[in-house]
Amino acid sequence: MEDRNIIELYWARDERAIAESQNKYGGLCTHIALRFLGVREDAEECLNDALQAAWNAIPPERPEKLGAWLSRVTRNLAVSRYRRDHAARRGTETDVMLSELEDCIPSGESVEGAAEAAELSRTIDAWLRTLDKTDRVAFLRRYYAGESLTEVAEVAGQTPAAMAKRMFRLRAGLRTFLEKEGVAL
Amino acid sequence: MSEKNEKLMGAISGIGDDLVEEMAEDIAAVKKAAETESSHEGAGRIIKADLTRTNDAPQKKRRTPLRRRIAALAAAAAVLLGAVLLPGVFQKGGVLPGQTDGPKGAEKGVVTVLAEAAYPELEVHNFESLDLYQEAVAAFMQRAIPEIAKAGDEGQNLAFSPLNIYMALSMLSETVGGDTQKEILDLLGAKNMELQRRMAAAAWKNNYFNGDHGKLLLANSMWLREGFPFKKAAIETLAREHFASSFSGQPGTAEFDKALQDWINKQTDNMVKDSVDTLKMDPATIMALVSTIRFSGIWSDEFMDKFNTEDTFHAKAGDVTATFMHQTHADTVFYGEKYSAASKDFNSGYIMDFILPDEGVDPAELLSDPDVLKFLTESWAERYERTQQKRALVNLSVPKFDISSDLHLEKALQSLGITSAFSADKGDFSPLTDEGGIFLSSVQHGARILIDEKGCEAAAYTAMMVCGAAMPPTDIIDFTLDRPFVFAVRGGDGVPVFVGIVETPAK
Repeated sequence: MEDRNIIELYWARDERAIAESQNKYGGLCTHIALRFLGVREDAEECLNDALQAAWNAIPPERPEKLGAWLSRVTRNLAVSRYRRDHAARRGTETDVMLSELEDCIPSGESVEGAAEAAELSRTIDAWLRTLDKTDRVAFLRRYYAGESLTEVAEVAGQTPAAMAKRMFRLRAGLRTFLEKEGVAL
Repeated sequence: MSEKNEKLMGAISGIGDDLVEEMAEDIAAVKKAAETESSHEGAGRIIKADLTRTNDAPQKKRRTPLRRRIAALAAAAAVLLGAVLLPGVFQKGGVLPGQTDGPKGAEKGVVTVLAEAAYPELEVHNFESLDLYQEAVAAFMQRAIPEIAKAGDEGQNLAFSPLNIYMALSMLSETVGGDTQKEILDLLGAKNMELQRRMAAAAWKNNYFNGDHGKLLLANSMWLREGFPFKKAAIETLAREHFASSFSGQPGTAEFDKALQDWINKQTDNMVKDSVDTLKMDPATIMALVSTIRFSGIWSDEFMDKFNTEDTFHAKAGDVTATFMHQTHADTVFYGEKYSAASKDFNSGYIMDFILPDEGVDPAELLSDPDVLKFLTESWAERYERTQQKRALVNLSVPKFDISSDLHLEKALQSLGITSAFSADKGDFSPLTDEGGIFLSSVQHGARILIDEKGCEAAAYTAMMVCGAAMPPTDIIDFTLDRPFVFAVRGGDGVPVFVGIVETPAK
């Protein structure tokens, strides 16, 4: 079913909207949530919460791209659930990924102070568009979908070591870009 | 998660829809390719087969994804058998109540299934916030672990399940009254039977799970002498409160023994078959209580077998060669006065602790050390408040092992204060039957645990270290388990499910 038809179901308050969303995007959303949470039950709960959120938000919202919208909600739910559940435990895959992101934090504080979240998103979006598709997808598989370095490496047909180097360069590149744009966190 | 990291994480969420779609298409394409590929016999390479079930999956039964088939596994099973005997009558050669035809005729005994326990629809990892329960179970574990450990043979591998023993004792407490019951409840940390039932239910609910990422299955049963005047209420309570299936037959017959063995083997996936197949009920048995546990877990980061090495393990009896699995991970190492400890996660939320005694310290000594016992039973929050810990890149090297133990726990339980149940004169089995002269004759516990590897995350982190990626932990700790060590598998609620000592990983 086309996205716009599913959205119509939401607007018509037809519960098939949820089943259709799950049918079309459940796999993707669970994939992402599972990478952050590591436990299937938790990932599936996250998907359910995301579907509930969609039911509550549409209408009035009318997402242009339902898949991207749902995956974003799922990811946010997964991250906050991860934060809640892992407050006392360290050393998980997601922790490692988060610690890698420190490489991207620009040094020094800009005069304007910390950037707004939306501005930061726009800058990262702009930087991503400067990359070639392979790098962009690899970066997002790692830091958006939360896949492990090994998974990303396998998909790209590289060794994990080579992928680690590439990721390191990409993170350094993002930091340089953020500094150049005068964005501070 | 630092504030800035969090902000970055959040900001990445806010990128354009088209970029998210591009990534999603890539994920979908790879998934599809992996599914096609894994339907052929693999050429030995690791295929990226996703564990995520898509909802538009074809209805026909799918092949287990390759990653699943090679997934690292830690599995264990244990069984506890307590038999209640009527010795006096039997020894005089008389006929037992319910034993109508003497031992010879009884050999033709038939096993009757009285009731198969219906396990309730249990919520997965329903962490019941019963502080009382956690406190009581921790206290039981701290007292019981040292005594149970003493039941093992010195210098031999040791494996047992404290949780399994807890559940079995909880069942036993239903069959006894007066001081006999009080002794058991004191050990289990419950003021009365009603509270004990709630705690046993909490232990069951918090630990029982059966999912894609592993399982921990508990099962109880009672084996009753046919025709013996049991009190119906006790049998019903065992079935209702402890989910115990009940079977009736003539103890001492091959058929009844076989039924018992088959039931245990079924509950434990034949993991402890060697031990179970020697279990026999004495002809004088009036009742046997059996509790089983079966655990299976997949490492959240599996070991990669290509990094395995054949190295020396310094066993007490002399050096042996063992297969070591290696992994480098940002992790925390804890230090005690006589030990250091590291943990590894299962993706079910369970963890395995590895406790390495300092040079010259016997692992058996650790299992009676109050600090180690606290370490094995404390909550995660308490653990992370420990002052002696260090966050670092940990080079974990652990030998593959597959060990088992057969323990007789009569002495251990007596040291723990359960004495009158073992005495035909003092034992009060009035809730079970009005017949006298009944006592607990034996308590056997068998357990087996094995761990192996197969994982692919280790290479990534080793590689990152080499290329100098800036990770917060800069120290490197080699955590090499190349001499006898203590291990524990702990549940989501922190309860030690399995504990043991690897004296030698060699078969």
